[in-house]
Amino acid sequence: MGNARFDLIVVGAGLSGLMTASVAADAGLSVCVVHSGLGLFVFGAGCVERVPLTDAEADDEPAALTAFREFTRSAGCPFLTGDDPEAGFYLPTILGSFQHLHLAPYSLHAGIAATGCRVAVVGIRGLTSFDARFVADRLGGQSFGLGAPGIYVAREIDLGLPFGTVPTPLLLANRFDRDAGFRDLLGAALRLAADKVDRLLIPGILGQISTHADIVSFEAGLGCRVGELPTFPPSIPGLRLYQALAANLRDRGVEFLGGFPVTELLLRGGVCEGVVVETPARPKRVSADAVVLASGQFSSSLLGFNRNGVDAEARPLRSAGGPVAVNLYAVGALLAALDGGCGGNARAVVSGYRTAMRVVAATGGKERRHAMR
Amino acid sequence: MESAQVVIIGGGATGAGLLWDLSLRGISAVLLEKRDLANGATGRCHGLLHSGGRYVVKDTDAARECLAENLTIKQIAPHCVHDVGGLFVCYPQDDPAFFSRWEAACHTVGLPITRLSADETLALEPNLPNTILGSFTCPDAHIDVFQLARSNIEAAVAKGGVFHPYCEVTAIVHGGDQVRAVEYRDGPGGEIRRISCDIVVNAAGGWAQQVAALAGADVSVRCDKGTLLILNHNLVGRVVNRCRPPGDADILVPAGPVCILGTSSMTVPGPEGVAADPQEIAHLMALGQELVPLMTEARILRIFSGVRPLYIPPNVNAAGGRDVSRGFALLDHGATGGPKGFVSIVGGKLTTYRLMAQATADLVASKLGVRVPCRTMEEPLRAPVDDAVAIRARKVMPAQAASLAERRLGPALAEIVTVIEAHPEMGEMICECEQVSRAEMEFVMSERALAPVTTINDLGRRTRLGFGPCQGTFCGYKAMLAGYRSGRWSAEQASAEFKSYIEERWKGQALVPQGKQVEQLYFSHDLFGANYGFYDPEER
Amino acid sequence: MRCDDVGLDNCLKCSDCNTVCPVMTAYSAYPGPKHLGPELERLRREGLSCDSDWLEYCLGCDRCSLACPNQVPVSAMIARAKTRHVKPAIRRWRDFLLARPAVLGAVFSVAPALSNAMLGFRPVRRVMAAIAKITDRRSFPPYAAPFRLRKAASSGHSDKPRVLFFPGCSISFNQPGLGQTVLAVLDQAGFDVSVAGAGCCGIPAMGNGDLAQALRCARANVKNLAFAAELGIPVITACTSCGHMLKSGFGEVLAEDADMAAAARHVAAASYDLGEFLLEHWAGEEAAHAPGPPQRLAYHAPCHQLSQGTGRPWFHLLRRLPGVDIVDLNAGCCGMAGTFGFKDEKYPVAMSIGSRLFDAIACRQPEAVVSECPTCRLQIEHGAAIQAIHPVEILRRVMT
Repeated sequence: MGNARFDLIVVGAGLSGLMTASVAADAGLSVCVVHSGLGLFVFGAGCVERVPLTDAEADDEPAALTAFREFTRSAGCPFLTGDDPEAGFYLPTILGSFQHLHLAPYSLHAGIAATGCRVAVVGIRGLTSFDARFVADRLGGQSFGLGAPGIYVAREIDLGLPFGTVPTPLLLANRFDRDAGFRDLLGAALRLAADKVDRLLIPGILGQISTHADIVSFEAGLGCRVGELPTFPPSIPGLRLYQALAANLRDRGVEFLGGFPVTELLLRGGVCEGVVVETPARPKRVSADAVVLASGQFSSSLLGFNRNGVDAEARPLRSAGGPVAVNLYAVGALLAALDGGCGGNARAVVSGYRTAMRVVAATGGKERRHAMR
Repeated sequence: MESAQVVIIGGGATGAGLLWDLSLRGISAVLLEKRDLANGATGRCHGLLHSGGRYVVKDTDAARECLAENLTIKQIAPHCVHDVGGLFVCYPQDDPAFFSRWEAACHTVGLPITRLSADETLALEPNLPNTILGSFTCPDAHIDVFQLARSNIEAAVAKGGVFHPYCEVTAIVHGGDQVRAVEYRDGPGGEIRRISCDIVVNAAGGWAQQVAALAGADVSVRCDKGTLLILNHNLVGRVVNRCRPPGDADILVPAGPVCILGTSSMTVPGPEGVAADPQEIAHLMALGQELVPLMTEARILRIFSGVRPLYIPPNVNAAGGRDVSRGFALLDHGATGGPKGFVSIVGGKLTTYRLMAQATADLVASKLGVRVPCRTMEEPLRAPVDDAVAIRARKVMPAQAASLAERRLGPALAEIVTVIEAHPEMGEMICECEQVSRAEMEFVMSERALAPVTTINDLGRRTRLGFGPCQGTFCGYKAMLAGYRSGRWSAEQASAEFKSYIEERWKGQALVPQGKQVEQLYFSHDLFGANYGFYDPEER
Repeated sequence: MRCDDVGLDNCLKCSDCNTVCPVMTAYSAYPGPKHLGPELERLRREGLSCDSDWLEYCLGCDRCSLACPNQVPVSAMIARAKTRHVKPAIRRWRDFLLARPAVLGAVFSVAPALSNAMLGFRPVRRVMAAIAKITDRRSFPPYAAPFRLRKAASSGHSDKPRVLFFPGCSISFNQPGLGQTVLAVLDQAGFDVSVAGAGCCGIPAMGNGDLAQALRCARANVKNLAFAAELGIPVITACTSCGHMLKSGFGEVLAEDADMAAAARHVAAASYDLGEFLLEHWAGEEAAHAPGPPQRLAYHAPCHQLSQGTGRPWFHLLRRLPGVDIVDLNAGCCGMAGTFGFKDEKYPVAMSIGSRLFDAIACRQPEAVVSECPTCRLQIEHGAAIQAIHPVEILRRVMT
């Protein structure tokens, strides 16, 4: 690493980890993200739900969401609200149900439930993990239940894949990324499928590394908006969001150390001086002024502290009471597992924001930046 | 109105075996099962085809029966048997006097065993603790219980037998003192139908008492709960038995890709709603670690409990579950003042299912005046797969998928190979963990398959779909869509079925106390909870 | 089956590994690391035959193992399965040769001019392509007189800290000049350098599923380097693939042999990539005073650099050099994967994988690309038609 010493170490590269890193980097902190895997980006598309937050979190929610929208916008993956930002909106799922959301990325947002909207759900021949007829069949009834009845029809396109090819969303997304001919073919097929409808709903396949501009220009060729439905893991819109956010952070000087587990927190005198990462040949010590655990609920046990809850600053507690370390925080799903509150992306964004702001305040972010200049 | 000479109640190994035996003798029979085949004790056991070694000291008759049946089943149903062999391992903490008693008893019974040194044993099974004293080999094997039940039914159906899953018996009609008919509900919430018949066989296992009550007869069955742990992969290559008097968690069976540790033994009030409790699981795990220390790190896929239906003859007062005989009893209720033509077959164990069916069929045949002898000990359950078909399968499917499909489908492999040859995309692996192709899944779901499928879980019992590490998280959805596309379910029914399937899969995993499966469960909770609004009632 | 191997139980089937697999991006039919690794591993343990020609398409890049949130050794599982894979005769013989670059190097560098003329002669390459399925669509790296330690014989007593340089086949037979540069830089940085008398690291053997050869290489190297590990002398490589083997590969190959595996772990603990070593042990004052010519460079991180978990040492070293404007391309795998890109039937896949990197280079238009891995550099020069050099060359230019 450029310097094995940072202002902040974030453990985990899920939504909460990247959000924390972004807010801290904005304030001029040097940040290292130590992670293995992509967090829950493989599940969905980073959509921010409507969930109950604690009072203190609710106070910070508007600022956090603004920061998140700014982060995603500058990373080239803009998130949108509904017409009435307070009320939220409903987006369809591949199970033919609707999810109540606050913010969703542009490529999903087109699926928004709207009264009288004519929507063609488009399946792709051979793609067994998506069934347009099933989705359309259910969405008709479900949208009626929401009080926003739409007209959902199912269509199927044939992409003329080589004989015997078993398409998966990942395969199609890789083709979309690398093969202009494939994009044209998909565009032409979708243009036909868009006949006499207001919008299209397709499985999420519009590229893993495609940019917002790529998607907008693809859409422009169709003549109507197209909404992606994230499929079973790996969800392509989620991967795309991860790629965009991580690249943006890298450009802003955030270091990523990927692929190796954190095996130890370097605790001394109630302070966390850094982490030990199990890299080949010998473990690597990375030190920092603050450590944020965004490691999710899956692997939190690796860090070896008992689940004794958190204090008001979101710091994990020792069994004897008192924080494990004054500069060690938990965010996202790990925080939810520790404090028993709700999880999900809304919590990830808000807790990431709040914790990053705490770290910035504690380490004097702005002054540091000035000192560096 | 439907009619048959015999109605069999209970679609476990015994009922299925009886359907096959009767059909082979040309007796018309209908098998009624209130859920799906192998839903009771048959589908909830180790899948151990005993060599008899376990009973050799205490019950030499049972041991001889097991040994004979072990050899017979290896002959008639090789596709259901993984002939992995077994070891009786001598652990330092067990009584050395028992080892020699056991060895001597094997010689008496004629059980072929070979003594191995500790080093020879560890060379075969490196995951055993290196403190072991040695072992004996024996002809134990794993038997795929779902395949066994399915094969018996398919063989019987081909000979004119009839299988009705999801048909719960509501009444046994007897005029005078002779049974005349059976009434059943055709599917959950379905119509009541009636089959007239001459003989009713109660092969309902743990439910035998309730079924007998419908006929006004009394059968005393003790329900003995046994809990088992399924581990993600083969920690051992052979059946590992602890060489000591039968006790808890002393058998580990490599069962296809997984291995199964069990069991506990605990008397419960009835066959329904049994579940493992945390104490019991901790107890099993502790004992399991003595067997194979790696158990602490290995992944437990799920934990399930079954009920052994133990028959308690009148006037016997047995103490614990393990003291009750593993022998079976054939009760001719007509001979003891009950309705004539009502027969119960109770007790026994999986390994002797065929023998139980034979004994029952002999009685039924004599009542019906049929003189055709039993042929199930020599008639193969399934014709072998044509070599040419197997070669074609390997051309269109990966090697492992072809061998697994061959094992599961038998001669029907030709059908799916033909489909994949014409439409290679049908070779897509729907269940990646257990390598179930789209062609196979759709075949099993179609009317051409002889043992019909009603739920996604039924599909699992026929193909192992959803039985791997992800427990249906990834393939369940595709299976649901296949059911929808085939017209089996409407969109609403399909999504409801999918939800109940996933929640059912969660139940067995939720019992796993620690480790990777808990992470898999979180993963599944997050996936379905966040995106589709499923939730685990146990969790919240 | 090894007693301690429960890594496959960690797989949650999340498919993170598939999303980063370079081969999957380029070759639709490839089943991917999740399938070839943990999924089949479970069935292999059952004793089922799971052999498949797809195993030959695994690059061994290790990206899948890195992407796994649960540390499933996906890549190592596939590598193990590869060693049991049965190939038809032509591919078997070709891969036998490709697995032995040290042998080829020793032969061709006897008379390098003649070798290069022969290997550059079209008809020869056409025959090689036709018979041995070694593609004629790319050229071989030129051979040179073998690399030897050439410096002011510090045979006497030196109070500088000692280091041991592990050159690897590429430097030994193709780029001895690069080896001299490494020696000069280490010397100037204040170290007393010796050159390890070791042969091939064995990664080409692993890549070609040749377990016997990989074992030979691993044993020989571990025995050869054990003294350095014991004396606490750092072992330094300038090739990331050699580094990957030193740090993780030997341990994996020798896992069945407890004593050798322990020795391999000691060697690993003493092994450093040159950039990693310099970043930790060299203050870099020499460079700070010597402004070099302004240069626009693009950095490509080799897969086996990422797999070492050392961050981006060369990127940071070069970035702080005066006059150097460097950008991290971050465009994935180059597709070459050692000998993979030389195989006739795999060449199109290799090029298709690399296309993203070539596009990124075209987009940035640097003066040169820097990368630590010799075969990445070959691929970049071939696919992007631009000079590709080892980053130490840049460092050397600005050192006094």
